Amino acid sequence: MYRHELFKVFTRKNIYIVFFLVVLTMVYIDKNYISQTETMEEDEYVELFEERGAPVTTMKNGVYEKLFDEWGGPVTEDKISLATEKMQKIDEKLVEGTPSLTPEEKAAHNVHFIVANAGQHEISLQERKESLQSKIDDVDDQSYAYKEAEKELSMLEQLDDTHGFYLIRAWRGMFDLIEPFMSVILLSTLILLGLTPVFAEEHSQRTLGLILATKHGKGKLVTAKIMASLTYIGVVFSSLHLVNFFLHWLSYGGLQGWNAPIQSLPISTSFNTLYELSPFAWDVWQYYAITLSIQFLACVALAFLVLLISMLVKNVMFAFFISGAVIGAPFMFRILSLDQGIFKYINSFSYLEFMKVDNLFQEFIAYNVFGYPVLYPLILLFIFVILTALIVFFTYNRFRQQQVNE
Amino acid sequence: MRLLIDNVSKKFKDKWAIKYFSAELTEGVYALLGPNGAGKTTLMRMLADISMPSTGRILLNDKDISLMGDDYRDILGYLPQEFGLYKNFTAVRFLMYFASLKGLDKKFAIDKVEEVLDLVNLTKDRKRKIGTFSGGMKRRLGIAQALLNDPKILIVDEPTAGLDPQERIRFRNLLSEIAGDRIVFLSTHIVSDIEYIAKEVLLLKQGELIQRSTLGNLLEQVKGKVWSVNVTQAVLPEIQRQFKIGNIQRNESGIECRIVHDEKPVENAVAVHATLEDVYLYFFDKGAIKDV
Repeated sequence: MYRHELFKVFTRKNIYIVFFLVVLTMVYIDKNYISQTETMEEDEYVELFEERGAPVTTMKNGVYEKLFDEWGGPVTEDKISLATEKMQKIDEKLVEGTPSLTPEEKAAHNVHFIVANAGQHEISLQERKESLQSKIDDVDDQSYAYKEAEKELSMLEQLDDTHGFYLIRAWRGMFDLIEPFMSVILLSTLILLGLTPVFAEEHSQRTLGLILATKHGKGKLVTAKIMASLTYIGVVFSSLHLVNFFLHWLSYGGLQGWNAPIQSLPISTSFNTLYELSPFAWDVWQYYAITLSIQFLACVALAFLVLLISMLVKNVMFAFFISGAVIGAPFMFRILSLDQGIFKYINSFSYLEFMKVDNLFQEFIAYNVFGYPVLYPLILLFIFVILTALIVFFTYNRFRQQQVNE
Repeated sequence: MRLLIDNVSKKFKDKWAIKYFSAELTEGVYALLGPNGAGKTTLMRMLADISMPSTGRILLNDKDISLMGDDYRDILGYLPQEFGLYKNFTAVRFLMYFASLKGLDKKFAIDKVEEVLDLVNLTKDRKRKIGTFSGGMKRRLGIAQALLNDPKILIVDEPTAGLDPQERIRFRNLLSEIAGDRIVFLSTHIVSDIEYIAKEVLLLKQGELIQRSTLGNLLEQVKGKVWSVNVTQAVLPEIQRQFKIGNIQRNESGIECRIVHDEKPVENAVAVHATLEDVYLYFFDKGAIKDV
């Protein structure tokens, strides 16, 4: 039964067309954006520098590897002061209108920036720890504020030499398909296309009567449909991330930096990081595994919701648009500046944020659960496990009670 | 085996589709006869456990079928009046899919699929995609899926719609053959489908059972109420307005009309042998007989 349900899902031509377009977009973006800076001329480089307000990567050859020998690893005070000094000299040269920098000088300039920046991050981290310590000293030790500060501080204390220069460029963008929000759009489009017909099509094709009158038509069939849907999600998810993985591998000529701390992860457009105060003591490869696992779980949770909507709505188009609205609603709230009060919570615990993942681990976020601080990712996971369990139960129950009266 | 339909009703909003229907069925072919809109399909769906009665219950050997659930549907074969098929599936894949839905062992299913394909004369089209099938072929495939699990209870709703005369005869004979140790409940508004095979006929009108009897008894009830008369073209409209008219046939001496009426309709009318078609006409409106 599972095999036949799988056949139904995988013989829809539109999923192949959309999948092909998605891959094409990823390759196009990679070739025309990510790899663009690899072959950039000096004037373009400066233009991009000014536009982004931070240095951009320029080479995938061995220049950075050589610089890593000198500057690599966690920052030290010596490295910071030396890097700052060298940066100042180059800046002075540029101001004086000295002829443009050689590729090697540009790379060195980037590395100096990273090292100096890492020094700033290290300072921010220390300041954060001090601020938390003073909060702990000031507030009542039975209060929530105390417990929250204590929890964050204990996590930050676990971090060990997290800021520095690491060869990590290949991992930029490895966690998302193009970028976090695009990941949600691409994955949910493919999920909706593949799964909205699963139950709805049985209505529109008038096969429901035949199915429901069979021995397993009200029970095991639902299991087979769910298993086929999860297989589809697994194939789509792993295929897209594999394509993304290889695109990055090829673009950057390797996967160096897999064991660097995530606090060094640059955002895709510059050497700046969003993880400077992240309290999670993970290496990049661990974070990659966690990110993909969570995103996959989010896709699975969304799949169950789409299947339920498909069964209730009984129309493929309606099911598609209703599911799309559920995913896109938080984004619309934000656009309309409605992400306050209750909407803020709805947004934070939405399918969109769950699939996007990137906001979960950039900083310490905890919620007060019966007086105890519980980390945002854990609450999010807990809520979606409960919600999905209810959806699964309701799906089985509702399908068993389906009647054909039209 | 005893299938008891106990005071079953189905109401949609404020309209009764089936009203307090009761019948007891044992092995054999039962024909549910009624015009379009009489409630046949609704009753069939309730028997197939895909629609819940608003009142009453259906019992198989004293067990409520809604409580039997999978066990009831395990011995059920159902062919709805209108159904869809998966266009991308071949005939074999479709039947293998339904074999799995019916819980058939895979090895057994492979042989069984070939057997039912042969029964409905689709063996040579077994590898063709259903999207390329004609309406009649789809109907035959529907019949094949209903027979896959050797059902003890076979419910077929207008099974011969869209079949050519040869296939209709073939299917009729098939039902007759298999009905020995099972209950076959057949709904139709085509009386020739059941003329030779029905153990009993149930007449359904506006959701209510108006007659349940053997074919012989029904014929007996209209005995002496079927007339043949020759009329001219000029008086035909008046005859049609006043009486229930069966066949109208032109012959050398004018137009021969078959009239179903309690008393002699006109002076020169002659009593003739009644057929099931006349029974139908006697109990229902004449419009419903057009597909005979």
